[in-house]
Amino acid sequence: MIEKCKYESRLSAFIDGELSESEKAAMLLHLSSCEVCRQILEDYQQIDILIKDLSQLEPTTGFERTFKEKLIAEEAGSGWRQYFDFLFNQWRPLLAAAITGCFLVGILLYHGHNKDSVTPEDILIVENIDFFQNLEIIQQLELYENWDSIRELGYNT
Amino acid sequence: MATDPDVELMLLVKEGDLTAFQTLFEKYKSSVLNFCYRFCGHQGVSEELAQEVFLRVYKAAPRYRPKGRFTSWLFKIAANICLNEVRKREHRQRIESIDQIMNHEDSKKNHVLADGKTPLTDELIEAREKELHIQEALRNLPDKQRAALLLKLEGGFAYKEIARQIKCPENQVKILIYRGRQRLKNDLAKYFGESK
Repeated sequence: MIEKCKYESRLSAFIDGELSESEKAAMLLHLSSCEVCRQILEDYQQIDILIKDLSQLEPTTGFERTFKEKLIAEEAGSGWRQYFDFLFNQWRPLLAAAITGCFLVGILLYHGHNKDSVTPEDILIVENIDFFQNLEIIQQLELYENWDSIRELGYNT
Repeated sequence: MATDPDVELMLLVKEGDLTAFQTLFEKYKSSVLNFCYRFCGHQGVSEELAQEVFLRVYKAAPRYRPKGRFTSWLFKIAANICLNEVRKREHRQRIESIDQIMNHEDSKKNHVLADGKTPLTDELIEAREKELHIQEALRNLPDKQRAALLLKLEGGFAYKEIARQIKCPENQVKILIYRGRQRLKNDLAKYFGESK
């Protein structure tokens, strides 16, 4: 197993040119005597080459056309946004007045509608409607029971 | 900053010059596309991401204030879009397949022999499988490691610039790139020596 060298962690920054002058000098001195670090440095350089050598992708024919379509859509979108922003900013007092007006009209309509609505007294009457119906029957029964007397009174008059 | 011609162009875009924007688009569409491709590994997705990068540039133009090289700002946008995209797609299955690289016509250009003849089929397949393996190894890196390493290798940015681009301390960039290289060293060891 290869022993880990204390300089190893700086090798990456070394090939990227990110070490200070003194660190770079120390690294160069170390590399001249450390086989392990020289090997790792070579491996890192190989990685960079492998990645840089990957084939370059060229944009497809539709790439630019699609981009332009998106740009136009963005422009159109931003146009509408600007229009609504303009409306909102320029007509803000009028808009506020209109909303308040609508709110007031709503309240008035609500109260106007409530005038014909059911009151607590009405509810009581509905609840007692059976009682009133029964009362009427009782009254008619009384009339029937006294029917003879009423008839006699009628003949006498 | 004033010596960066791209910053000058971007300042023209800020004033509404669409020709300047077109110039920047033409100049950087390939490098941005390839950065996105290395990052996500899928051509269709990388084209969408690259388009999104340029849309952001266009939308940000009215607020543009040069703080460094234009490319530094451009790839900062690209890195952020790519990192956001992989976060969104974390739960999805990988969509890369060998067919995608096999069908990629443009990659053929890079496998043309020095004498101008295309290599033997077996060599072609081998070369593309190698490429697929390298792409896979790159995609297996943690997102920030991959972003930092690609910004270094593809973009050639300094650690300080990368730190601004991926929003992390410079020291962390150093560690990210070191760990990325270490991991790739283990994954790609079998190809070492071939590129010499």
